[in-house]
Amino acid sequence: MASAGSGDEKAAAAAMITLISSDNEKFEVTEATATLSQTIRHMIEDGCTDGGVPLPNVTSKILARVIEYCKKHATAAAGEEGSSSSFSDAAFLEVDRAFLEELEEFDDAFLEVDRATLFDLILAANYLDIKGLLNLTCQKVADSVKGKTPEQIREMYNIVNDLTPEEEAEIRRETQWAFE
Amino acid sequence: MAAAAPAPALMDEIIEEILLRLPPSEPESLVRAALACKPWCRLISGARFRRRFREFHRTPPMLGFICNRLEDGSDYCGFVAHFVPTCSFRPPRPHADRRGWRAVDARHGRVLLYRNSALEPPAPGLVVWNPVTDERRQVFSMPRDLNEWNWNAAVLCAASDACDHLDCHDGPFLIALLDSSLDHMTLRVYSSEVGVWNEMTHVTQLSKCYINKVPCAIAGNALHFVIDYGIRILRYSLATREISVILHPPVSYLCNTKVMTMEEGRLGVVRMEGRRFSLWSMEESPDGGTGWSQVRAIDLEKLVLCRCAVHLFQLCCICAWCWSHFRGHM
Repeated sequence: MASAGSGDEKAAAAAMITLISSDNEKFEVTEATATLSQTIRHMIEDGCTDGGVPLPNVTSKILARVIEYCKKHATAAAGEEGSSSSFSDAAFLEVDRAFLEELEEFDDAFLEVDRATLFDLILAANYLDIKGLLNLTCQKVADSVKGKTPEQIREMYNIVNDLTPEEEAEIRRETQWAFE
Repeated sequence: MAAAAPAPALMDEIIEEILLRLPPSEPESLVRAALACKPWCRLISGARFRRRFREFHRTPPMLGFICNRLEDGSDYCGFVAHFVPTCSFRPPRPHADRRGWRAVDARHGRVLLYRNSALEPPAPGLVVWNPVTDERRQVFSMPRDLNEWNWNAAVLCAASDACDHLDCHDGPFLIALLDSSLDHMTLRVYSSEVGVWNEMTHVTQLSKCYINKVPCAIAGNALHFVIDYGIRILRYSLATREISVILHPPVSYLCNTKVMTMEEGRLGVVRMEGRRFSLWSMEESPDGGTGWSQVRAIDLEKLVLCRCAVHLFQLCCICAWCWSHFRGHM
């Protein structure tokens, strides 16, 4: 899995962080990977990561997926910094483009999960404050809400309709165009 | 029943993050989601969400455009301001309710409609219409000495460039009205806050000047009117209230001309000469002069649209956010 070592990775390798899932599984990750999470970044800054970072809200199954995401995107972030600080010729742009495409493919494959896992990933991304992952997962859910009727949305997300028939009728009357 | 494991409940803040990502160009999505349950309805119709949705997407979607159609059998001023949708949104009332009205301009979620005073039943000349809420705000006093045959007007948010126009469509507006008489042109501005037309700004060097009836454009905090059969543009600075005249790109006789705001906020001109469609951007030179550069040219010969393209110049595009009208209910 580990990509060919760059200077950044060597420096980061010195600082490994242990993440502990709610079911007590330990995950060793580089600081570069861990700090994609703002929550963990702040903990590192405050110096309270000795003995591992307990994440009581995240199961090992979900944490493994989150780490998979962070590893891939941390490498992407390191790659971007590298290319902007050195050459900026066409060859580099080409490499960047190929890498972005690869990242997009990774994201698409990453989202191929059932709804429960997707929701768990959203909760974890929110708790760990990982902006990219939150955006990715929320967009996936939004795409599945799009084009659905209120009844279909309720069924998909186990929502109990507590609007009175009068309230519903009034809104439908005012926004008839949305239901044609 | 869902076959997979039950999905965990999501907190309100996450529901908000998800709903924020519904596409503005498919406005029915938000309305339908609002009908899922009370908490979703409350969230979507709340001021906080509306604001965030607009900030998240920045550019209001295009809901459609207004096409001024002549009614069968009517005289030349018997227009219907016909809404032509480009997405699912439809105005609350059918276009027959805008019989006798002509759309003059549209901007910042408002449409400026005009009704000829000679039409029956008599109605006020200018109305600012919000196509989403169907609210109409009258301009109480039309200028008495207006030249009814040669004028054009623009509607805009009263805060002009001090506003991001994400949530201002119910707020105060301005109307800039340009008309022309034998020896001069006159520009006056109506403010909805004060309810009167301000003092007139005269341009005496332009006499007997024809004012093209095409929508205006804002660029660089100035309004731009096409005049003189498309040969010149009259610029009215919203900051200094000064008027200046700009020449168009190389003139050719009787081509259709329309002004527009380019993506980077510069002034653009769209021209149609025969079947050739060209887009020009105004460039400021270091010595303070202005020039034009052609950005794009399209040969319409091959496009199905070519017969209709001339009429495109008279259309007012409506870009607005469109689900605010049930906000009062929850």
